[in-house]
Amino acid sequence: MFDPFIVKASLVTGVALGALYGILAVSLVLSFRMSRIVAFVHGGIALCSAFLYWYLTANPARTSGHGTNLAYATKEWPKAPAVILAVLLGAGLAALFAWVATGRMARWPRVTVTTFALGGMLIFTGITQEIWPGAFEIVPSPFGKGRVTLWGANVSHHQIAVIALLVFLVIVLHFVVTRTKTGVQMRAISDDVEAAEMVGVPVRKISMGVWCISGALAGLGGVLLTPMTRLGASVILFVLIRSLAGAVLGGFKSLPLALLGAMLFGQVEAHTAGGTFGKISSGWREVILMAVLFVGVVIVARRKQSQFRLAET
Amino acid sequence: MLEIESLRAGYGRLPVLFDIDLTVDQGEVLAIVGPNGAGKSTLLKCIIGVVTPTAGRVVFDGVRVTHEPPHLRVERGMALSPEGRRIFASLSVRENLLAGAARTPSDVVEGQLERIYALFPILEERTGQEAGSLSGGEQQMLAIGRALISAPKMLLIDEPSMGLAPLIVAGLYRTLGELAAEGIGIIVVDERSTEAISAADRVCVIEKGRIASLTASTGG
Repeated sequence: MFDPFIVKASLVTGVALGALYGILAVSLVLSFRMSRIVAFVHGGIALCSAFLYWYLTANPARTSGHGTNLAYATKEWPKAPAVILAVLLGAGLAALFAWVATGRMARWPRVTVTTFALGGMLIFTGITQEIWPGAFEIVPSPFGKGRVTLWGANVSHHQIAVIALLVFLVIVLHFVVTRTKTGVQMRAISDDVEAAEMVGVPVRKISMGVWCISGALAGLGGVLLTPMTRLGASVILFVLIRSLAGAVLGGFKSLPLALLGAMLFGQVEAHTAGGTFGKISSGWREVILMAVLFVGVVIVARRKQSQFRLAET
Repeated sequence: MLEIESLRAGYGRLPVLFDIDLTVDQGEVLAIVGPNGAGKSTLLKCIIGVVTPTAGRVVFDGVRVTHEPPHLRVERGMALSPEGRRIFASLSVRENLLAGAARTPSDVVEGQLERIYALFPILEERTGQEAGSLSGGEQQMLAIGRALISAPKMLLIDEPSMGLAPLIVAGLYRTLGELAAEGIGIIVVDERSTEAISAADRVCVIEKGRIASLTASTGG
């Protein structure tokens, strides 16, 4: 019934897509655990970092408008320093946001600060659009153009590296959160920020640190995403929504579950778009994805309810 | 050890405390009593640094700490067991205790853990259990244990007897007496004033944000 070649190819694409969604999902979960807000601002940060990486590494002869006075004078730097700078930019922008969100706004209603995060995303998006208006560019991968065949599917080095990097990051972050003293303090802040402050947890310092890490992840996500698609504001914001869905499926609490949620989304998207179930229009693909999200949210909510009942008895 | 001079504080434009002067020495137990809303908990929050005073000063061990953040005060040797326990419900008992030891050297933490488990053996039995599933009395022990983990010189305890059976309250105050005998200064705020007054060396009555009286305890 199913074409094994299409299924294999979709499976691999799904894992790579899920890994991309996963990086942003993990950054959303980290910042939510610190500040109890949905950090839409990470979408803007990912976009800024992606644009910076493209500007520093792209070949000017391959940018849109080449040969006209509208062409972008990109720098053709080596990839590694450009990735580092883009990730540092992500951490810096997140620190800037967190300086306000965990300082002056620390005790403001969470919905207000979430709205502020949405505003932050629009500001960062607006700035990139102002600097590089109308850009919709091809971005070189930090891992080159190589490809290999895995289980009959043609996979790029970029896809393999993204998956490996994400699994590594989730293992390290999960270890830090669940097994270290800093992780205990992070979870204490997540439970009750005022109580954490009262018992001597350096709340501001830890919150800023976690925001910087989540911003760096968002920046890395932006850099790794664009070689698989194209660089443009709409692409990254589209991915942010997918990542958000992954974070929701993880209950905005667990990093591995957020990764699992993102992987699930990646698989559904790859199989519906890749032709495993025949040709499905883009409109129906969205309906299927949102239906998966809806079912996932119901399952998460029911699980929480049953845990709550168990705690009450 | 702790000196509070002409302290004023409030929330936004609402003044709560007016010209508070207090001292607490090493090994002394000071009970603060007074009606609801008098400003007792706000005073403890000012001492630990969660509420910033609008005037006056807080001096601890000869160092002015009035505008220091709470984690630096804990590092200097203060610790608070807050009103309503405020334990971290999703963390285990052991993790709750460790959360109070943000900057305490690990050898001190290990020693304090042994001590806390000796004071409250039930906490050792429940060490891996999620703190939200403990009973009220166990949660109170955990809150006090969490304050003790940093080996404080000054312990601030807000409403330790709230919601607890009289037998458990008596046990808690016995423990506070033992801690004071080891040289720890203690400020205890309690609605159930009889037990607090019995355990205290001095009693401070706060009414409408001012000290109404400060006298030696007659032992209840």
